[in-house]
Amino acid sequence: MINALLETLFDILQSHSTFADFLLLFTPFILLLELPLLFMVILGMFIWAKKEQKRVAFPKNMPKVTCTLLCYSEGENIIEPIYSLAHQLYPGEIEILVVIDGALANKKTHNVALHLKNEINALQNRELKVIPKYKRGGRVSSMNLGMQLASGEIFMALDGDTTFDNDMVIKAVQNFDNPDVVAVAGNLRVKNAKESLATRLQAIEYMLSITAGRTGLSSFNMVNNISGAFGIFRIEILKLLMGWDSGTAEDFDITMRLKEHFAMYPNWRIVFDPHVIGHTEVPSTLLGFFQQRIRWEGDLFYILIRKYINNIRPSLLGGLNYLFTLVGVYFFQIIMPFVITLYTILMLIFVPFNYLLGLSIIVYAFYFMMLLIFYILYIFLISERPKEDLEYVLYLPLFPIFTYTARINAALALLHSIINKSHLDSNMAPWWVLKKGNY
Amino acid sequence: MKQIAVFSDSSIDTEYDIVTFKSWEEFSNNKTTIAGFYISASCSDIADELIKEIRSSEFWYYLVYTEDLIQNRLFDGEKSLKDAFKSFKFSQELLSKLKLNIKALKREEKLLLYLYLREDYELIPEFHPKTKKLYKYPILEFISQTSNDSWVYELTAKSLLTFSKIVDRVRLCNQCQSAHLYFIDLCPQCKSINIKESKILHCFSCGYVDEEKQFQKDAGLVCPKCLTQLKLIGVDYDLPASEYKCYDCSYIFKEPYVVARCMDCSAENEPDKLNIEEFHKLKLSLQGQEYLLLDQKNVIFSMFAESLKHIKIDEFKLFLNWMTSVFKRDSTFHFLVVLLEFDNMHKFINYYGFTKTNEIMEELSRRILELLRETDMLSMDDEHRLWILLPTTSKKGIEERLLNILHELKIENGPQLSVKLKTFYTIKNPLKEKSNAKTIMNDLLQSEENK
Ligand SMILES: [Zn+2]
Ligand SMILES: [Zn+2]
Ligand SMILES: [Zn+2]
Repeated sequence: MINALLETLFDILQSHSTFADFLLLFTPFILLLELPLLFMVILGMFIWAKKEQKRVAFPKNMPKVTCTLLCYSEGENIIEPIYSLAHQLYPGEIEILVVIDGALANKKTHNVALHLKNEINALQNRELKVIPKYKRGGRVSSMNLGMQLASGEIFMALDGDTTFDNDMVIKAVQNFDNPDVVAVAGNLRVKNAKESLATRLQAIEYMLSITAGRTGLSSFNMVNNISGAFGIFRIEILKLLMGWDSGTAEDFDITMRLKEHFAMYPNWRIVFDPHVIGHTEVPSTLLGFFQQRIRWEGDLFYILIRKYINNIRPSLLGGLNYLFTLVGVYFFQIIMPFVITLYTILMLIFVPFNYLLGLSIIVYAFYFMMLLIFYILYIFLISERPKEDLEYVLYLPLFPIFTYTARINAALALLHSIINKSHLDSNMAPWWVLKKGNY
Repeated sequence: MKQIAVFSDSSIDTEYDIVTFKSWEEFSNNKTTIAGFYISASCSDIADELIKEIRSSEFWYYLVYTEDLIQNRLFDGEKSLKDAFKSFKFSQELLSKLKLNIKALKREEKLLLYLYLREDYELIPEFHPKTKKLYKYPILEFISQTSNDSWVYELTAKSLLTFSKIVDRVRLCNQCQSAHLYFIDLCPQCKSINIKESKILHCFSCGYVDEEKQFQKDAGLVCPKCLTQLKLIGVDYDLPASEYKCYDCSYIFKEPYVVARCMDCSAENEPDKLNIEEFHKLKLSLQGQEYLLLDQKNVIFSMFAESLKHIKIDEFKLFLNWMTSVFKRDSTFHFLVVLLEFDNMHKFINYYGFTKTNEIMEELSRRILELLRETDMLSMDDEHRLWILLPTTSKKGIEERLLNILHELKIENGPQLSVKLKTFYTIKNPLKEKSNAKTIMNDLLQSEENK
């Protein structure tokens, strides 16, 4: 097997006289582009794991925590998230604000929340408040309303369809024992991972690209997105920022606005804590997954290009952060998908099929090896459920293909966003599906 | 109208015919006939003593008004002398319609009279937390001289009083009828009181159930049985809504066993098996008014009472004794004793009312009296029983005719009058050595009816 691979590679290197040869020469370059980032992330993972060993059971300070649960049409599905907050093991006070967006249209969700009120309020140090917003105002208005009504020192913006591990608040609050920490990004796991192959692959993506990746970056204070589905803030900082801005990708937006303050307050830190765990549902089909990503990527493009292009200056964001933002966000999230897509198209046109096949196998093998190392490091250094996560080793071989298609999809999404200003409409169907229907 | 007795420190200038007294002593020495009492503000401080004296004297049923408001139901309220005068006049008129021997009244009749003399009067149960059943009717207490109020409900059963509004529902100890109960929750398995409500966890991976405390380890939860880390509620473990644990037998349960323990006799009662007593506001019914106005017994048996053959029950017994002695000496002198028991008179009156009952009874009395001879005697007792003594009369003839009369008495659409006919005939029932009026009448009461 390995012999066959080497032979193919040898063949490829021997025949470099055409445009195809030129393309092939660039292959290792493209492969290696991601390597420095990967090494940095791995180093960060080790740093985090070392710190984690010193973690004690309870936080030093137990301030009052306000959890704002953003609800819409979840109905009975908000019971579990509310219970998971009410029965947190955190000994301090927890105020649960259930903000129901469009309470008139979502009477059921409203009633379910009201129904739980007495039961939750009977618990020690727990208070449930149901806040109906009769007209639909969107996530941003819900979060900002929660921020205004919050009485806790720590504010959590949480999604109504997310349930939380019972030590979530303890672990989250622990990070604020460090006075420099202004915000903590929580870690999302896939609740319905076992539902289908698509959800299993997404679970791997959450574990590796999101959990492991962000943990590593967090060690260098380079968290680039505090999820609005799971973001934890000091309330004073939120008030300083005057909450979230309406528009799309508010999560990214508020993170960027936080980062704008980094130059002025160089000791501020945003932490991604992989052990602050929430569980969320992901699309159960590949099509659903692609549709979701198209929306996300479109939002991202809008924020990066249209809103922050002028703010990306070294003075504002601080040296290392500048480099990362530039390289990490712009290059990997916007340029790389295009490079890969374009490269694939060129290869399909100019490189003979058998070469392409051989090359694909080599690239795949390379990626898979890196993935395997990364995965093993994740299991040993970071995962708080190593046994559970180890089961996914069986699906790991499919993952490189999955990521590859996701990249292509991302390129299509970005293209769509550039051409059609897709962020302005909230239609969740992929644009290429829509266009087909319209013509 | 009679004078109004006014208690006052000073003389009062008024158009009404009053006579003033400074104390109860002064009044009771005076012996005037009066229409009612009025206690002026100047005597408010001795009002409580006065009302006690009034209600336990021969004037117990009189209206007593006060110038100042006094919180005591034995008074009839606060009124100006002018208004009080009107009420006195009204009650005097009502009283004059009654032909009652007030001194001989039983407690039931006393109560009816008290209510009758007061316009729209309601008997209101008062909350007294220290009393056994928590409520009492202050008026009943001075009328019956006991703290047992249950006889008042017999009057409602006879429809002489009606419920106007329920005031409270009190649960009572099965053993001693005390309302002083407290509730304790116990372990349903071993009945121990050593139980505590606590968060109970249910481990999904091995099914173990115990208190949250047993699972706590550092800042997390670990199942003590299978050692699984329990992180996510609803997936790793469950928290069934608050449950109890018994610290004596370790039993875990949702609903404790509740008993109501009596503070007076310490009996433990099951809560849903406690006696229930309802306290109502009570009012005099129309039938109660009629009862007083007509004097029930006399009305129903008025034809008999007015008959020349009627004698008092004691006299009846004397005659019967006399005849028994005669018969013992001369067995050819025989006699017949007939007893008619009117069993359902109360129900009958409740259903048809006094007037209709009276019509029916008049017809019945007329027919029965027609049967009797010059020498026959009859008498009534308190229990709606008619006794007839018939000297030298043969049993068969009179018995058949009496039965005929009773059979003919058919009322359409309603309950029938239930009358039991019993006879004692000297020829059929030989007299013993010891026989006398008392034994004969007792035997008759206990014997079977003739059909
Ligand atoms: Zn277990
Ligand atoms: Zn027990
Ligand atoms: Zn008792």
